[in-house]
Amino acid sequence: MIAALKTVAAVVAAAGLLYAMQRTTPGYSDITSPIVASGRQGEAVQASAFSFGVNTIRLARELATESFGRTKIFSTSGVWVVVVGEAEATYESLPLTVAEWLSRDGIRYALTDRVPATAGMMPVDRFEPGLPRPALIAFEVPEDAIEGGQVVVARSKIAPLDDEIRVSAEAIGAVEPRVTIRRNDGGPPWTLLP
Amino acid sequence: MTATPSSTLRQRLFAFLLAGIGGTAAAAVSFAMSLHDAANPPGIAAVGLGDPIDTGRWTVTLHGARSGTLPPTGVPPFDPKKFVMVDLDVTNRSATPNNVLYRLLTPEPPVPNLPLPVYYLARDNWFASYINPDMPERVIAVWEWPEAAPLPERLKLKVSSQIYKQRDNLYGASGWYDRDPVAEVEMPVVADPKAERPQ
Repeated sequence: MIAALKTVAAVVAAAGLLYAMQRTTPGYSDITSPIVASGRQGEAVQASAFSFGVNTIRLARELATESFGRTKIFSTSGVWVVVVGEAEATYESLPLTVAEWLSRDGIRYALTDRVPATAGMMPVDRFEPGLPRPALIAFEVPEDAIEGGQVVVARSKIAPLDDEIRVSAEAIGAVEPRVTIRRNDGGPPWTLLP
Repeated sequence: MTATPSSTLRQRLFAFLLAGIGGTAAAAVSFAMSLHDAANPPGIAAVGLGDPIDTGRWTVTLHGARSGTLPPTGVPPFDPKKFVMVDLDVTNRSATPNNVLYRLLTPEPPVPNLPLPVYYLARDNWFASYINPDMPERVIAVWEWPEAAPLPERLKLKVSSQIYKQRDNLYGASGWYDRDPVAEVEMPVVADPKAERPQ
């Protein structure tokens, strides 16, 4: 009788252990997730291959681009988030092709590709070691995903265990009717108007 | 468990026989059920224009179909082509932006040699790329209709669905996986004078 009870108890304990192990196994995406370096707006955040910092964040109902005297206006169902940051490679020159707005609820919004990228705008720019350069990023985000959001920057979407920098947005301006990105012929590649 | 001396050969044979009959019966029932399911596929709900359809990954509302010779970009193609365009609203219900719209709508019955549709963002009249979560967008699905096939007067579209799996069976990675179509929408195709190639 005691022996039978022991057998049943051992089976139950083994089943419980297996269930706990099954529930707590990290997923494939957790195992291969990027290595995150976090920071706050206004400071340069250092990851192993590059550093990135956010200077200003502006919100607008419309985004306009001005190049060669032509203005193009991009509307959105949410708001445009225009981020001006600064990036620098650490050891070798590299492109930064991924930028995302990570809302407080964990929802990601991609770097827009509606606005044709130009020099000095992610994702087309390359960054060099020792030469910090401004990086311009534009997102389309619903208005309720702004508060408590983070700017996420990474080298590539598919490289597992690569660097990822997250900068929490703190000083966000009020929503402006329109922000214009003017492409310049010389000097800095773009100017934000007004 | 050791066999007690009272378990005779006859009893053991009987137990084997019983297990065999039970197993065969279970297999037969399972086969009959799958045969019945295959013979009676679940009907696909017919949904009207303007009604939202939950496909798992997307909420889709179809608004109508039109035909023309000019794609939504307004740039006439080099060779004359004919297009069938469907206006629809999509909302991404997942947590990440994606652009996997091209298998969402399929004409029913299938049209031979029909390429996959190209999606345009109505806001920009340009190619749609990433659709952000929870941001409804009006998009236009554009099929380049085959030269050999006449333009349809009515179009029936099958709306496919996808489910989210936290762990797939191969890597344990999360992802979206195709499931059965959830709805069929039938609509007239009207010639759109604004989508006519300038002569």
